[in-house]
Amino acid sequence: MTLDELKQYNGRNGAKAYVAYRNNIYDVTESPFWKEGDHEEVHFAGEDLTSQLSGAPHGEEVFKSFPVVGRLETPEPQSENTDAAATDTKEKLKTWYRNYHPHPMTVHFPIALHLFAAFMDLLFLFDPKESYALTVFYLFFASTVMGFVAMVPGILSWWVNYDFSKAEPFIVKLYLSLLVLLLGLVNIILYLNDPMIVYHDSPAGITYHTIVLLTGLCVIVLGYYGGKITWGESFMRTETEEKNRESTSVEPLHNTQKSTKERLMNDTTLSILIGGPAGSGIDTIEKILTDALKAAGYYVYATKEYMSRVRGGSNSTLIRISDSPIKAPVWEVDLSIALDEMALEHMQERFTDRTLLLADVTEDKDIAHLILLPIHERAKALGSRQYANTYMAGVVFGLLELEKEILLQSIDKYFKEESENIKVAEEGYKEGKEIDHSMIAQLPSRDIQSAERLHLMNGTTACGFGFLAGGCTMVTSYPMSPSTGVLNFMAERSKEFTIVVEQSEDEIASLNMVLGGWYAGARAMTTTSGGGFALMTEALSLSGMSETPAVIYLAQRPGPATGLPTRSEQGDLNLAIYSGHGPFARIVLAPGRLESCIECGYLAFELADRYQVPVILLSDQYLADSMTTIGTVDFSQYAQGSYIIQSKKEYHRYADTPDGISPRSVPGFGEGLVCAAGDEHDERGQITESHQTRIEMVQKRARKGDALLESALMPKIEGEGEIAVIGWGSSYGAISEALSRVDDPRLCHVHFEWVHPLAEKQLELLKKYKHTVVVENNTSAMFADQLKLHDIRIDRKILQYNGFAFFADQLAQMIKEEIKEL
Amino acid sequence: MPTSFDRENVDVAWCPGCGNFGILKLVKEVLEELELDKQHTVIVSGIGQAAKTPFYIDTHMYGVLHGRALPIATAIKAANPGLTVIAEGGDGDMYGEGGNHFLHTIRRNPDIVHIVHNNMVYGLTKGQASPTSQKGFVTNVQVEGVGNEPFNPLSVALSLKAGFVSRVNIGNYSHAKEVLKAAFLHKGYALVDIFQPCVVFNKINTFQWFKEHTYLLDESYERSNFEEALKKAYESMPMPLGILYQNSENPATFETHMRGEDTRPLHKVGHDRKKIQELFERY
Repeated sequence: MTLDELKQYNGRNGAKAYVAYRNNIYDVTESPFWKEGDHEEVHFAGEDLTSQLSGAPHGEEVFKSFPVVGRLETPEPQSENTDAAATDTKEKLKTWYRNYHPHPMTVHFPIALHLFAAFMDLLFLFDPKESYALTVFYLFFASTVMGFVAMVPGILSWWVNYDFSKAEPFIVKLYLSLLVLLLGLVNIILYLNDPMIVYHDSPAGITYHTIVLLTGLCVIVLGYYGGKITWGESFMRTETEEKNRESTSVEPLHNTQKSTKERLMNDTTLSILIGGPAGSGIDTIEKILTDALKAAGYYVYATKEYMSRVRGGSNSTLIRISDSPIKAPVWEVDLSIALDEMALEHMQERFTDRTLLLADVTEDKDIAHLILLPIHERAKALGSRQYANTYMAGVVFGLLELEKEILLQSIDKYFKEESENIKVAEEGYKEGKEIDHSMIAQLPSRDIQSAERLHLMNGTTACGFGFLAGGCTMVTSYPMSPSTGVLNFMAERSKEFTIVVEQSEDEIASLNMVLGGWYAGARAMTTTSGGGFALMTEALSLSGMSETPAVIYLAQRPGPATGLPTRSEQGDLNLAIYSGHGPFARIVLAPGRLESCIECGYLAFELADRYQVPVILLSDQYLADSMTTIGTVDFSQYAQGSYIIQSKKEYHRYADTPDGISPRSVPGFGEGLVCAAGDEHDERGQITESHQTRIEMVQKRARKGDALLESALMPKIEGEGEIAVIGWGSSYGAISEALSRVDDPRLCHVHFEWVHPLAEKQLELLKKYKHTVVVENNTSAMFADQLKLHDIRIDRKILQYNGFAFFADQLAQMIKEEIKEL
Repeated sequence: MPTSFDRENVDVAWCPGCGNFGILKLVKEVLEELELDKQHTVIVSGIGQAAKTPFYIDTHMYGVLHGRALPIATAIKAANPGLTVIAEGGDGDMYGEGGNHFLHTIRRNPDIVHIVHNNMVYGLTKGQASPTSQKGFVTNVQVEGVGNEPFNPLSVALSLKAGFVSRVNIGNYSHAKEVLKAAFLHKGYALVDIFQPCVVFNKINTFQWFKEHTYLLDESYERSNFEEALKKAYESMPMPLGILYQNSENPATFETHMRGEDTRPLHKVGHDRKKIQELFERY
């Protein structure tokens, strides 16, 4: 119901009496306080009372007694104290301001003129020529006028962009520019009164010259603070944090519809880093804590990194909790737990002066906020050193002052029968409660109900669900990190869902089996990483030539060769796009969110079947291993299409068709014969060396490549700025959070999940941006190269190839650096 | 004799006098005599002169890459156990390029017939040594003669407990037909290694040579005796022809191990979206 419709329910002449409060519409017809739609002769039915309640002698609790009959539709929900019209004007001004930048446009004139006037005045003082004196005055006059001109948009900007912030640079700028303006007027009056004062050392003359030189200095200071507002951020952060504290308590929780700007203002997250040697049970802590923290009502995120260094053997897992969805890791953490000395050293780079540390080390270190906690000793006293993990989970829950029962439930679920762990966790909980955590500024707010509708999983599982939805009936793979998780997922469900799962002798066999499966009617796939995929490229080419569909889950890790087997990189894009001898059509998908892991997993099968091409789904160690929450997905939307036809006697497997897609049948389904070949063939599938047939067949396959472009997924766009920050695949979460942190309206996140072949509609969209910054987790900006091939200009590249996926906080800094000059 | 498996309008690419003509005739006649239905028969072949065979037989076929026929045939059988599946190719294709697949296909034991044309030379690439070439065989590449020990497919297959291991000489056509028929009737993986001459590139191992260096296993030979079969597999000059080994205990095939009694073609199998939804809700 809109506000206009609401007006009809004014309670008069037998009409119903409805009132709106915070977008809910309440029926007050039956209330004795609302006779004829009139309440105390002040408030009337048919109105939105949201802004009027603050003047009432009662609070919002009165609405609870009335039935809610609908929702008030407003284009933008307004907070209760804001005048809608004013906000609207402000938004319009903001857009206008950001299109034309009036302040930077005008402010350079007074600065330059004042400086030049001061310079000329110095010249005059050394060599008092009349021409110098005149120049000084005209310059000074012009600069004062322009100073006034620049102040107007400056104050406008202060309002629309910074909400009259009282931060130091704004206040300094305000007073200083007023002073310059005032001094300017004084000097103009002095000069016009008697131009000869410039030659005298009278008080008026001295004042005149002093002002000219002083204003020259003033504009330097003004310029300095102007730059600080544009580029600096230290003071802005304090501002934001202030706002966080004020707003979290009144903002509705778990609002996933929040805009980027709102998210920045309202989110509170807590990042916990737990480190210890491999096999010390960090995985267990992660599983228990993520489950329990989700049950406690938080949005949860977890990612792990495991070292492959000989010295050190120290792994860590990062857990973040928040009051809104969180999809990326950060480098700097708020709370860290080191299970041994090595872990403390390993994680040290990620501590700030605000990080609270709990460490199982014997001697105090020169590290701020370090609390020594003999975790293993306590665990041993409780029965075994192996209980360290449950003990730590207890400590964390106690420290965060969360409900003990929730944790115990998760522990119960994880260990199934053992009860000793419960006791251990309870002891840990007690210990955690004693720890002074006052330095952790604020915990995110939570909503226990939310746990019900959120699902916690990693990219591996989400892709697995996608493949199930895509109707996968065969998986043939050679195990290889970090792809093996999907193989495990499918194997675990193979009996429940009829999936033939076979571990092949090598990756060559894997993809050939996939082709055999598809040829005979299965929906088959393989899972691999770069090295294994390299072995598959011959069979990929067979898929292209014989037009046998294939689905390949390629989870990347840093190469070349064995590279960094347990770490992450987006380094195999070129391999995915160019592998295989001879040109042929293929599709490369690279999901970046759990939702799109499912979507792309499903689409991989549908597209492969529909266009009879290989489809490669690119993931990586980071996406595969990182865990986060996802809302309910409706699987009824994922219908498994049927693209196989029953053949007639005269069936030709490679019939020439306008779109190049020859109807595909399978052996045993119909009267015809399915003759497929890796040699060049005619329509029947017979080997041919006819040059005419070769041309026809090459063109037929090429048309298929054109046809599939219509299925291309558009990139996901967040923001309206003119600088496109372009990413693809697993970096989605990091870029998204980084842009929230930078909070520069000039920026816009453009994220590709359909990365090959690029379609005209995708490219057209990119051309409207003024600048482009490509963010890639590889050494050579492979996606940027793809864009360049299609005449997209790339202004900046942000590349990272240290084995880590992007951390949102670090990426925010990198983006800030790169866009400075744009 | 024309069969219903003759493919029309084909240009056969073999040299006159090639042993492959005999094998082509053999396969078609066996399919005909066993009354196999062409709509339910698939031949998968790799690359090589021998691998061209299915292009001349009127059944389903998938001409794949060099050495890769076996994994593809295995998957086809698993995807639709109702099909009769044949993997066919030469000695280079199956024992050289596809050597690893040969080992592991035997271990899997899919119910397929594996036909290997063994002429001890590479024909398509013009005369280089193959894995089964005899020591001392001189070629343009092995200029001082082959120094490598010849690959023994029968002993390798036996060491991996292949359920049906046989060798025939296409020069002895009726014996070859008898053995090939038995291979089709065997439940599980069946290897038929067929000696054939290459009239252009192998002047040593000719029709005459194969005749002189082989002998037929007689009626009294106990083909279910594994140890005896191993001994026979290592015999050379003359080499035994026939079914060296056929197991009697019928171990589970790959496809039954994978799918049990379910023999539905997988294109008729989809996943219930409600079940996926339920599984998702458990996370």
